[in-house]
Amino acid sequence: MLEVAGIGRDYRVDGEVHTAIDALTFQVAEGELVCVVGPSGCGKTTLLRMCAGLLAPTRGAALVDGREVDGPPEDTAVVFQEYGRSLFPWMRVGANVELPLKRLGLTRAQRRERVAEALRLVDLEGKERVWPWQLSGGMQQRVAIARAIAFRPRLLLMDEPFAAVDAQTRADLEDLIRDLWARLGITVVFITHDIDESVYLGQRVLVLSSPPTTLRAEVHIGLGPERDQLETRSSPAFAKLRGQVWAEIQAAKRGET
Amino acid sequence: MRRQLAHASMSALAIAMVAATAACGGDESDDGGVDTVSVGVIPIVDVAPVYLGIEQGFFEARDIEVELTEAQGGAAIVPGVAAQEFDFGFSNITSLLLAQSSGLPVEIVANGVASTGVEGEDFGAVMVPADSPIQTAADLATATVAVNTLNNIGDTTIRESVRLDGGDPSDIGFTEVAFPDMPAQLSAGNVDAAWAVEPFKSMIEAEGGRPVAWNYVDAAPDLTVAAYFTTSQLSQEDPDLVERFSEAIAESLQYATDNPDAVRDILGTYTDINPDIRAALTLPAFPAEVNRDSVERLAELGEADGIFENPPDVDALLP
Amino acid sequence: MIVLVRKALLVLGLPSVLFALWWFASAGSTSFYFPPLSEIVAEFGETWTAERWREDVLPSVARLGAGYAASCAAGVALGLLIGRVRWLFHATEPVLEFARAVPPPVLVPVIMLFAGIGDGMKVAVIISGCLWPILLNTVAGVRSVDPVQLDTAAAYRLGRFRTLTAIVLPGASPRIVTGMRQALAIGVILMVISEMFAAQSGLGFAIVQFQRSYAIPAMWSGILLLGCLGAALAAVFACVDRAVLHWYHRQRTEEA
Repeated sequence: MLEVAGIGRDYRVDGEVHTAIDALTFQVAEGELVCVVGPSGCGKTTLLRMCAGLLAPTRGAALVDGREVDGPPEDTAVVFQEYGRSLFPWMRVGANVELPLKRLGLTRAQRRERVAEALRLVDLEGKERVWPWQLSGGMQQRVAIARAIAFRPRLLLMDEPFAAVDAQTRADLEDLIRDLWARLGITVVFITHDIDESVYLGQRVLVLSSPPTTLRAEVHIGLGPERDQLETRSSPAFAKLRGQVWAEIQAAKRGET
Repeated sequence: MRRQLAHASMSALAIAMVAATAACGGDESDDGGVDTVSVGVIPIVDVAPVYLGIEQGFFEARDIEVELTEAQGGAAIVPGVAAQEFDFGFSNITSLLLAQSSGLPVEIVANGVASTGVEGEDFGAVMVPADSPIQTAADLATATVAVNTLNNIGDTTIRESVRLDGGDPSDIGFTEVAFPDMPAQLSAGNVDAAWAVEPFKSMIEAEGGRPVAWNYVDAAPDLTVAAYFTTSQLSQEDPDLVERFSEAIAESLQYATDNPDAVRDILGTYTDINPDIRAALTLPAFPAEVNRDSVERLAELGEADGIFENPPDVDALLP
Repeated sequence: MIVLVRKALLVLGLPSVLFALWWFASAGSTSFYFPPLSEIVAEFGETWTAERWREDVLPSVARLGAGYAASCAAGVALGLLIGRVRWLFHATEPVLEFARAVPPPVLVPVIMLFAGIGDGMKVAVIISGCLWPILLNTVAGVRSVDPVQLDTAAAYRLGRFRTLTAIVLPGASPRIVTGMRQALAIGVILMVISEMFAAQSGLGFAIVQFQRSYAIPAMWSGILLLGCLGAALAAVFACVDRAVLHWYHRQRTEEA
């Protein structure tokens, strides 16, 4: 579904070239939920933007469905960290969720139905007429997620979506994502700095190194499809996997290869 | 919203207060027997005698020190005199009749400037571009004519010119254009004709324009065009000063009449008129006395055109 | 209901007090240029007849409307373009700042040269002053649209047109409306100034002519009318503002 082939990104600062991402290569199969973690500043957001077609790579490429990404790909939705700034305050919730659907050639009734369904799935049923700024942070992020799934993408890219949200809300939203993923069969690439979250959510966790960034490790999460905030997180298997990821990140920070 | 309304009301009041002239005290400091007077003038050909008079010491000889203030036009001078910002001012007769008829207590103290009275050789005329179909005054009946001030000496005398030439003046489209803008507007074709006084008349002629009506000549023989004036208050409080001032002006007028080259020279000191135009322009006449008949004639013309709210009292205005 | 009455009292309170003060302070005035307010008010009805409204006031307001509307249309259109195209912005910015700094009254003789002395010239004068606040505020508004919103639009491939209409324009609208408000105030002033040169009719023209012919109470009545006109326009603008930007005002009060 998504293939990242030797992608790299350099920046020019005061005439000097800094390599943020050296070369990354990995694949995400259709229907997978993959998490990407790494030390601060390793370029997670840069990677996501290149996959989303919002930033051009310096070398290598990202391919969605075999086609090189050279602008935002079709059937791809993005959920940003800053939910407050990604929703449009001059539109009500319903209009916000509906906006990306407008170019899909659907009738108004079809759009409305998708919006209602998406809001129901994120537990915001009936809130079409509410203004985004009347909602709490967690609910606003749900609206952004609703907007993404109403679009019925095949690939969902999420850039640290729960970093700005409180712990309890974060837990609810994590479960929401797993639920939606299980139901709708979307391919999800989830960027986070939270190690626990990455293990809890993903089927695989990709660990990035420090800049110039490469793929350090790939941890296979064999925790099974049914996960629970309390039970799964307190299981020994979880602790072991978390330890593995944590160790990789510490090594990455120390600059070990 | 309430803020905006309150703000707008305050602004309106502020504008209103600024728009009216501030009343300042007059300045007649008595400096060991010498009276300092402020005189409001327009920097045009007409006031050359005052500059000459100062230069030749006619005022000094009568213990008067003159402070000249240049204003844009009569509209600024009359209020200035009424508010005692100026002791004396210079303004055209029709403006003074207007002021007097509106209740402003103004009095003429000395003659200012007069028409030469000679058709074809006056310092003001109605000009048209070289290729204009307008040939005589009667042709102006359906034209747009630029004058420097509406409902004033320009349009009332031009209507008389048209009448005398057998035309009907009731449909002339008078438009207010400042004298300096007239050459450009005339050549751009935005107006069909323009009433211009020197030096603008010569400037238009230099571009090929020609005169079609001599309105100052047509209005009355030897028309007094403008005069120096003051308030009744000053003439009652200090008749001696007023008399000395008038005498100095009379002497200056005589000097100007006898020395036309001096007039052209002194023009160069207070205006930007270039030397060629200065040498070529037609000078007005500077008689020592106001022509009372012509003042009455202007009052009649003004009343016929309905510019006065009340009929002016010519005797109250004249010295 | 009580709220409305209170609001009305607040809005009309200060002007009424000032009016009353003016009335009593000027009551016995013999000054030529500051006649009693009672005289001005009496003059008001006589001066501003139906004919004057038709021949002076309405044409002036119409010219103001035309100039203002043209400035809004051109200002927003150009502002959108310049704001969105980066190199265009950098190329035009110094020129725009220069142009906005020139006071329109200074330009009137120049405008008269190529626009003549008719209605076109007056509308041109109004545009020469109203365009800049709208244009520059639109550019600023467009440039300050949240990049996350633009990223969202790009990621969902909304397309240039929809991005412009659904995101850039609404996002910039608070700034644009600010520019339009500034331009309205400027427009009223220029409406009067444009009629001080080479005019044959108009509200500003009438006021100036009254002054020139020493009809001072009539002049003051004209000034009063002008002030009321400005206030009325501001009130209309405020209503439009509330309608267009209700989301903005509510967001700011509810968030804070």
